[in-house]
Amino acid sequence: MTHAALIPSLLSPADAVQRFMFRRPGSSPVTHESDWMFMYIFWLSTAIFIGLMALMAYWVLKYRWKPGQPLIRSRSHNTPLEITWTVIPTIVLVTMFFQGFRIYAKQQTPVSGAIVMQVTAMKWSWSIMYPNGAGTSETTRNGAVDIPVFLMPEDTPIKLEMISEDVIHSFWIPDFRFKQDVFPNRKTTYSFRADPLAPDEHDNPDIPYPNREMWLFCAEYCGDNHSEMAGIIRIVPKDVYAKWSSDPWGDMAPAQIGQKLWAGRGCNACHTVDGGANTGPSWKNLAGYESTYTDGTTAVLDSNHIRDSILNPGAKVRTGFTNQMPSYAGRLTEKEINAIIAYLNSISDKGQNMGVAPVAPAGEAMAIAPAPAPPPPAGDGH
Amino acid sequence: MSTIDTHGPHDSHAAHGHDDHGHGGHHHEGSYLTPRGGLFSTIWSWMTTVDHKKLGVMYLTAVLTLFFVGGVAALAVRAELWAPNRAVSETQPDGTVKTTIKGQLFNIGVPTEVTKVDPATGKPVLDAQGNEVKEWKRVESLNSGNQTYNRIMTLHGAIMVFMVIIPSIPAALGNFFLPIMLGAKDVAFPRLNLLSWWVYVFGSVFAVASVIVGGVDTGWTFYTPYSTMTDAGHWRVVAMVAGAFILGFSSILTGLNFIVTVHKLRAPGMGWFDMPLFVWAIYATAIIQVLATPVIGITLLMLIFERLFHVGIFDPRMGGDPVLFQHFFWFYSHPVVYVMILPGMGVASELIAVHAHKRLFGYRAIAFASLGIAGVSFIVWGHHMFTAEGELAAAVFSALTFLVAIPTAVKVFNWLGTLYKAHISINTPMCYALSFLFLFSIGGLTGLPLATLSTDMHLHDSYFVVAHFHYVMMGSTLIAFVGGIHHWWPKMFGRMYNDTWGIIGCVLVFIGFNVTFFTQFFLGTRGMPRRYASYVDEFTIFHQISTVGSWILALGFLITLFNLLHSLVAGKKAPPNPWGGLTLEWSVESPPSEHNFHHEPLVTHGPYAFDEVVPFHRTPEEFPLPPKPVGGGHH
Repeated sequence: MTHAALIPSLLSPADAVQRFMFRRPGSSPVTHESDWMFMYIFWLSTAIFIGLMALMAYWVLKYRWKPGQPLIRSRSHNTPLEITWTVIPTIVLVTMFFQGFRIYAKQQTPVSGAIVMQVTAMKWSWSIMYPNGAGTSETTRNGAVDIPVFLMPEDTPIKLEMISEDVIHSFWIPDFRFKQDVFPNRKTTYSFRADPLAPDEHDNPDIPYPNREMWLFCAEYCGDNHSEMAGIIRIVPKDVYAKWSSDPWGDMAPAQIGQKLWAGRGCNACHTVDGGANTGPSWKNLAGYESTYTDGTTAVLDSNHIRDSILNPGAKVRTGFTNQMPSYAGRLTEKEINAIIAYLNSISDKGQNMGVAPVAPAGEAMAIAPAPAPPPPAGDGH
Repeated sequence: MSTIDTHGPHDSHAAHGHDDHGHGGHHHEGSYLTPRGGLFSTIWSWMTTVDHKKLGVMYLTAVLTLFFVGGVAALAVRAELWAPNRAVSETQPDGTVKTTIKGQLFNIGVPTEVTKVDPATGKPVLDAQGNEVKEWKRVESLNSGNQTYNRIMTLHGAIMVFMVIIPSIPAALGNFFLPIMLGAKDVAFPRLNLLSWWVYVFGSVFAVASVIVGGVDTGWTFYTPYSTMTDAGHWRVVAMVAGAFILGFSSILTGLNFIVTVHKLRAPGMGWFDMPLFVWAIYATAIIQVLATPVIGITLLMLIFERLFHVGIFDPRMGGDPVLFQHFFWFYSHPVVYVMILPGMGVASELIAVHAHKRLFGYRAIAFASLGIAGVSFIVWGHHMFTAEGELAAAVFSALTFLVAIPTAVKVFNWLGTLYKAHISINTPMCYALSFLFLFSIGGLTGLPLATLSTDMHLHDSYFVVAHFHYVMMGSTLIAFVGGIHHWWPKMFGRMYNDTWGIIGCVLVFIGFNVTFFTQFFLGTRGMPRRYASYVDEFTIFHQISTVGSWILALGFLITLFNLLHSLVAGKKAPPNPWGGLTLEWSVESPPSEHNFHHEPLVTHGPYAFDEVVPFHRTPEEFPLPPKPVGGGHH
């Protein structure tokens, strides 16, 4: 059942094929059933296909014809045979439908007593608000962008309620073998219960406690950076999750939190921090500078202005840009907004001294330093 | 099925020596290809022709040209996916760190307002008031590189679906052969046919115009609200959608024409069940075109209104629903999947029967399966939205989708059964027919885990879907189309191509296709979403195998193209019936005369009654002409 218990060398050929097919075993109880379903269809199809192609090859070789050979007369229809090959597939397909529906019903049924979390999708990032109102504080580099890492407890029913800020997205965790579209006008849900962690399961070896890391992708085309709209779901022991969720920020400095929010809440999808061009203005040398707006006015970007732009982005739009940013009202706490203000000031020549040393000098900002290792889990015995 | 012709094939053969309407005979009228007058009047006569054969050839030329454009876009897509995007930070000589994005092959940049810098001093240029001067430049960024990919991907999808696959077999081969196979001089409404052609040209111009002004990044499905929001203010999306809208009219008019032709213009003696299966398939296709295409017309019109006037049908802020668009869109676009595949099945039936020289096994079952598939195709649109709709709807659509699998499986069994105790010539058309059987079986079987609800939750919108529909759309329909071109090339242009090079091209296409797309099934099951300009590192090796496959595929098509074009200038002259076919097109000259038949033909046997009609002791060139003309040749 668990990942590490299956040692590749001991796999049967059928299991080896399944492993190759999916890269990793499914990560929740219902995935074992849906994978069984897929492999059932796969082996059945393979058998049918090989049978058909073997017949085709054999007959093509056997009944090759050269001009001059006489014609053999043969039957051009056979009612019992034709009925047989219509009825048997029908029976197989009906069975397949019911099996598929049975497992689908399980996938769709939320577990009672689940922890409910709020997922917000926007071009081009995911954010998850935990029951305590906090978001994630950790990001990791994936290709050209930094993506958020979301902690989830093992063996605990979770229900995600999802909504989109803009276009349709789709929430897909391949290791859970399940995806659900996310709409701008109604909430959809995504329920799962991750398999318990094995003691020696360390997808991320830098973390002292057992962990399983899984990809989160957007599966519905949503524009330019659709392909960068990813995240990491990290399954952690229950006590680690409990400790983290009680104090997600720890004793980090405001500007440092702001930098994490930039990478983790989707700001980085449109705003660079090194002066580079993107959908929105770069944050480098923005705070304290004067800007011109599409309504013809100019203003200096002070703390209040930054706060307004976060909560009501369409009110003042810089020249050369069109507003594509959704409001963050209700999705960032005042503490988090302050952290972002501190971060903008720390990377601006004209920034105010917000009481902390500036972080992320120009250029290095995109390459986020690894997050401080989370505290080792209390009472973990290994 | 057939009446017995008392004169029989042997008589016909014996008589052909003094029958100058027969094969190879030079008729004083010349063929439909014979130029009339000078260069300009010849061009004008083609542009204004109502001859279904000339229109078929013009469609063929246009479809192949657009196939080339769409194919180049596909190669660009595969090349871009050779490596994933990654940010590389380098320390500059002056100590600053510069971050660049690697892994983007094509990046046309986005127009951005930037501070003008004096190249000599490296300082910003100031105007009289001391303000920095701004200028517009195309700036390359991560986004703009991804956007370039998305535009090429959309270009590929839209061209291939709307301008290549949908018109390929029906408009090109259908126009040319449907009337001849029925024994008619032309389609029922020749002028309407000319109108269809020009509407097709007009619609394609709109779509191509949208590309010239910068391209569209919506994907060929135009999902709202993305399609109503992207690049707000630009006309590109409207131009592309308008192009698809106009192309729909061409499709409807052609379909209507074919339905009436099949009902009204069959030659004397040809009952419904004496029609070739290609005609049955085109007939079923035409019904879908006429019934489903108006829905996409309305949908696309609503999309244009939504974009231009913000009417709010699909906008949740105004009480609309973006998923409604998906319902409308797939209500057309699912049936249109069968507009794409049914003609391919029809061509496959012809190729297998004629080159195996045997009656098709279960002729009636295949004919009814075509109609059955056409019927069921209207009630399965919801299976494109299993992850977007309610549980009950998903269950109903899943069950209905399995219904399509039954007639489809029956057809495969029938084609295979035809090979049993057949008389199989291994040549280029047969090579494509066998490729079709192989690829279509994979395309069909991989539809099963997509129709099954629990497994589709994982595979939906992944590369598994990409691989599946390429096996059906390209591996089946386009392979059948190219096979059909080889089958009917001698008839259309009166020249034989080199069979060895034809088979080499076919085998390369087959290998390249499988290397390209079989790999993508594993990408899908392992978690790669579709329509991605980049991907996570672990998928790299699969993408590189797939890209190498696309080069083999391109090489195969290039060899095929050169082989066919070469035959036009250096090919052997084609006899009227090089393969020994029994359908009516093989009874006329290659290429056919302007009016197809010199006398109204009388159909005296079924389309595949090889065992009744043909004395199989002769070389193909000696095959007698099957049907006896009603007039002079008929005693």
